[in-house]
Amino acid sequence: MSELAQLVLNGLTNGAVYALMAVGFAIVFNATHVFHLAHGAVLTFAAYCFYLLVAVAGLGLLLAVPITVALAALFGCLIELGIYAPLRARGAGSAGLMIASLGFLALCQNVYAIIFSTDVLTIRSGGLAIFRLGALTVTSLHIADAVVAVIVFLALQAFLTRSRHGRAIRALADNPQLAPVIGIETRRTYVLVMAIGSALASVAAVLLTWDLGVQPTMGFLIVFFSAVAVAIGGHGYLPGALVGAFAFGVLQQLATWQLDSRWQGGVTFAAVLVFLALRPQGLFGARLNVRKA
Amino acid sequence: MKKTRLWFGIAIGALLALGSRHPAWAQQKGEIKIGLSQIASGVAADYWARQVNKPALLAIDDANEKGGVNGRKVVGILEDNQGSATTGAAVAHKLIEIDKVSMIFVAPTPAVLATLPIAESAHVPVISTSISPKVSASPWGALAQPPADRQGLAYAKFVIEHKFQRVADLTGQSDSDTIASKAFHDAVSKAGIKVVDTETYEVNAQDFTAQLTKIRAANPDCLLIQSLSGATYGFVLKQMAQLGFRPPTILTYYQIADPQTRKLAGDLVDGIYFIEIPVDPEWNARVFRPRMGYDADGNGALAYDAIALYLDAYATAGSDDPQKVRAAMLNYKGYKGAVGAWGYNGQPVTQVQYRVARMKPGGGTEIVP
Repeated sequence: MSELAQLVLNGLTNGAVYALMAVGFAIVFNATHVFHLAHGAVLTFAAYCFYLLVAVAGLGLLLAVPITVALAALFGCLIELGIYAPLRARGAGSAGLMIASLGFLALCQNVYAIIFSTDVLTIRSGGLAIFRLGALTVTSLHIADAVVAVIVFLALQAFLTRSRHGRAIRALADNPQLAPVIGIETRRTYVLVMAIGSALASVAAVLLTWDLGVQPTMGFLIVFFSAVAVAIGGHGYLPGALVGAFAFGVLQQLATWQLDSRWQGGVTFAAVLVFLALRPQGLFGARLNVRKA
Repeated sequence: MKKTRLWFGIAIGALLALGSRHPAWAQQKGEIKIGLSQIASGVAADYWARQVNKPALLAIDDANEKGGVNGRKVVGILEDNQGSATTGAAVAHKLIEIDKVSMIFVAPTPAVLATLPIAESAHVPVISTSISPKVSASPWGALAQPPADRQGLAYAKFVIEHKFQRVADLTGQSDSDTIASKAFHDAVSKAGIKVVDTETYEVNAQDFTAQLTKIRAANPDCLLIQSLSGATYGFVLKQMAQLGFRPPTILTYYQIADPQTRKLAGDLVDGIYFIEIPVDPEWNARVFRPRMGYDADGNGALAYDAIALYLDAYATAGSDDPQKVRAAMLNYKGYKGAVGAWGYNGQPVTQVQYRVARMKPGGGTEIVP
């Protein structure tokens, strides 16, 4: 029984990092309708920034974290201004933007490998302090992962519902054709959305770099998992991405419970497929439809 | 215009077909070309550069410094196979059909297995530091590294000698690791030792918490972890510590000694046992470290030796006929190189044996008697 509980706990801690990425991915996807695979490149960019600031420049966390978040937000803005906006202006559709995004992710991975090598770069070595809850163990960082994910999400929800810019983002997500009619500057809002999404990815990057270090390809799998989490949660509803990420993290762990771990990937994605076949709109998709209606 | 293009295409095709009827070696003039189909990009690229590609090219440089092979210059042609079968096959075609290499030195296993049939039909020898027994089963293949089953038996020998009772293993989902794992299981089970858990992971995985949670519950007194990546060992050890457990004894492969592992895991690597190919310390100090700036591990030493032994044998074969060169290599005696004195003893598998070593606290390794 303790084995099962530990697997669930592992899943929740992994899910916290997926959640930060998934919420960032979802806000970009909902507002811009870009399947933003380059979100993985932003994560890795932020991780290398954090590594350079801490391990090379010797900055403390209090300085390094906000600088990393700012640099990642700027990187996201540049992706919008340098890639998505020009393609949109030339009439590129969703598929074209997605391919461009994938291409940019691959390009970045190669550039990172050339600059930093393919080795894992770390800012600390060894294990972390652990807390024991009976037979269960959890580290301080993993508790921090979950707390940060929830706080960041609540702050984002407050921003989206209570600020003028947040309401503009929601309006754009709800109806991109009507938004300009009511005075929302679409291009500027797209840039803002990319900055917010990228800032969220940078928080995940900081936590991952502190835990496991940074390497050029680290963004690919996580952005893939985030997209799956968004599908589980339901497109268009931000809390869905959060719940989907935690659910996916737990599912990955439980897939090994009574089975050979060789089946982990297969069982996880078979379960996701079955779920989506039964509920294609995701966990909260129906609520979105009601709200939109 | 279309007709002209068609005839032009047919003519080129006919020329290529005629050209391919001649074996690669028959078209060589002067230079001896060695194809290196190896990883040069992706997550393993830096390790591969340090411990496979550079040592292999160093062996070619050393041969040329000694005057080449019977006065002929040796040229190494390095191509990136990306560790995959698809790219490995494309690289093999390029090295054989365009570069006309005399031999292909190739790893890892997926690229080797894709190279073998192409090399067999072109009669080009293939030498590999892979551990797949399929290489030595090929009439044109030779393994410079002990095969996977021998690796599994080396692990088992350690476990049996130390009288462990409950062993578990964590193994990559590759053919070679599976073969090594099976040989290990068979041998320890035969000795009456209980295998309490077997877990596997995808080759580029970073999260091992699910597998380690199950191993923790199984409570082994010895855990075998198989990986070719220092980073993988680092992640596993960190996550094991985060789950608050550590089996009394951990046994691994020699990539645990890669500097990456200690960078990631710190002193968690201390006291871990591993099997390794013995590198000659005198060769490392005299030949390798002064020019490379770091130490060779077993892979690096065998990569050097695989090329150097082949070139020494080439010089004695008295022919460019690849079959004769390969036969000379398999029966070559008196070679002494990076892993000391060794040879193939007539078999397409190296006779080099593993030994057991341990990570010393604070850094370095020590041989376990």
